[in-house]
Amino acid sequence: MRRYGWMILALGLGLMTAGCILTSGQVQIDFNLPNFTASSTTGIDGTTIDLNTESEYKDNKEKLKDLSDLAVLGKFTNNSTNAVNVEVWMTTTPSSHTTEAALMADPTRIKVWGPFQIAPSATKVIDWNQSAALFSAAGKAALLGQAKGDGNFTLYAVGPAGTAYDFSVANGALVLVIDVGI
Amino acid sequence: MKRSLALALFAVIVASGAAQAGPVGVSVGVFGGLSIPVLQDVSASSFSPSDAFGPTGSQFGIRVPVHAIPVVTFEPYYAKSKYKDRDETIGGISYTREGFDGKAFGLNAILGNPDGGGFHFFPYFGIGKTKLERTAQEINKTGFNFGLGLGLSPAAKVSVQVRGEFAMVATGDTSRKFTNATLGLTYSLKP
Repeated sequence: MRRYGWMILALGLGLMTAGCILTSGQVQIDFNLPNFTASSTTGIDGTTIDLNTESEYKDNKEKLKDLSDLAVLGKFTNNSTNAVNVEVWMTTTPSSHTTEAALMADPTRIKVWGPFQIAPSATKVIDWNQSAALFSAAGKAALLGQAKGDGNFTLYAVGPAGTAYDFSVANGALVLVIDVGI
Repeated sequence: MKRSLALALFAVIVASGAAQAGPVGVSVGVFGGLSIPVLQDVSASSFSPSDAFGPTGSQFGIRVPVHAIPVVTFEPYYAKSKYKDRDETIGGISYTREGFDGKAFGLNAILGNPDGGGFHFFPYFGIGKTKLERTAQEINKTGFNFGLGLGLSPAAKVSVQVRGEFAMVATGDTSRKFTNATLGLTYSLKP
């Protein structure tokens, strides 16, 4: 029996190394966004998100370790005859800017996602994989910070600064997959 | 740091076992089967126990069991896996998220000799490196696995093995977990 001793010890060490990571999982939370428009002439709409209003988030907030996957989804319509590159920005404190200039003057703004190009006068549903690839490192970090913090922030969709654009977004959603300890 | 220390201790224990070396047996084997994600990307709002298991993927690879000391067989392995895409309707629109492609290599420690004659069970555990990739996401971390195998030898130098195992890839304080069920065929090269 003694010859099994070191084997049992090694197995114990292996399991100890695994430790608490054994009891964890990845939980997906979807936040539906209202329909909104953005125009370089008539202005932009912001969407303030309070993660705490979602019970899945509230139930897992204390166990949240990291953001595993994320996506901005929805149906984008370009109402202009020029192609547009849509970007999503966030202000880390809730805000209600109605112009791109005001948004860009906000010191808490961070570009989260984009650019997502839509052809002139076209409607396009974004692909989940494509959307996941459009998050910037700073954007991911900011969203993780919000998820671990007060969870209250505002998102804006805008076109590139200094260009003419007019687009709308319908059936929008922000999808977060969070790593949680169970 | 704690994890590195534990891994170093594990290596020392394995090395100390090698000091009792005897006649060396070497085999080569191939395997393939199913790999199922566990508790990955589950929707908490509509969770049911069956959702704990994701779409079934596949896994195949090669193993080289080396039986150099009593009691334990060391088995380097290389495996590739492919997980299915996941379809989901969000905001009334259907979307597809790509499944992971996986590659893993590592070392299993098997209690006993999986190529032994007759019909026998063998528990095992292993440590390795696992890479999971899909668009916009890459996980390249230490992987752990443990399981139970069933072996039988239908002819000289040949054994057939069925294994069921639990595998996980450490991602910081959490992990991506899988259950695997594979069928393998091993040929004994030496002795």
